[in-house]
Amino acid sequence: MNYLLAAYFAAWLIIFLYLTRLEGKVASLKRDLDRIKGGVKGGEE
Amino acid sequence: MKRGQKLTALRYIAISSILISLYMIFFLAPTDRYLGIVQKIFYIHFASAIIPYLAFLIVFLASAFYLVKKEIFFDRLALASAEIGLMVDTVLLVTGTIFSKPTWGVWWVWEPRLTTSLIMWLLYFGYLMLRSLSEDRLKAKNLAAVYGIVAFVSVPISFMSIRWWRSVHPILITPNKINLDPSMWLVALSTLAAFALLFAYLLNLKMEILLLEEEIAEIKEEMGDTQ
Repeated sequence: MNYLLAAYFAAWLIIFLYLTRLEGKVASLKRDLDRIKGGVKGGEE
Repeated sequence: MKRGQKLTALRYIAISSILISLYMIFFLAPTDRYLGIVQKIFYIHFASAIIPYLAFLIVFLASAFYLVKKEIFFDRLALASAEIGLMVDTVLLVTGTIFSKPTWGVWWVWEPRLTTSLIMWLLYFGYLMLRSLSEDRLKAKNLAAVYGIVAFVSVPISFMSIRWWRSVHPILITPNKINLDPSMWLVALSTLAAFALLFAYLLNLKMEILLLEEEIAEIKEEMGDTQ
């Protein structure tokens, strides 16, 4: 039972951490892009 | 449907299929007569073994297409697929190590399947190192494409290792039959389908990241030129 729990916990922890990292990175890059685009538009006006 | 909406839909489909597969593993799959409940590690271990093969096949094909067509999309696809393949391959090695202790009595044994799987992991770790450490971007893309093609040799070797050499690792699929109870096979396939959907979602997410990074770099370059 302990081995089963350890295997599933380890597997889903790896996947969850990776997934969270990717989703966080997408959100952060979208914010950066919006900010840069906003800056470019502001500069053109 | 917009790209963001597609990604969100894929996210919920992948999560739902994972929850269904977990329900099937713990409540529907029969308990193994010899190994007992610990055998249920097999389902996640099996799915995490097949997905890296698929991911590295995509790396191989995308690398070949990139070298021929020089389209950036294929380079992006190869990089995204290699990274996710390596992550799932890590899950494979971790679950395999934990599974081998109660079944074989040891955490690790240098037998053909485990050794070739570790070599495969190291090769694709090297691929990502090559991508991140190289300073010349174009050169790195070309070099990585060649590396992605050559490294694929490890995939058929890993798959065939238990058939070519004496191994303690069980052979699940033979040309004549599948060495698994049909009810267990159904759960294994549903877990594989859930992992495939998760892979598709992660691949799209990573591709989105690479696309956004390129877009930001382009804008910054343009801004640098105009200043």
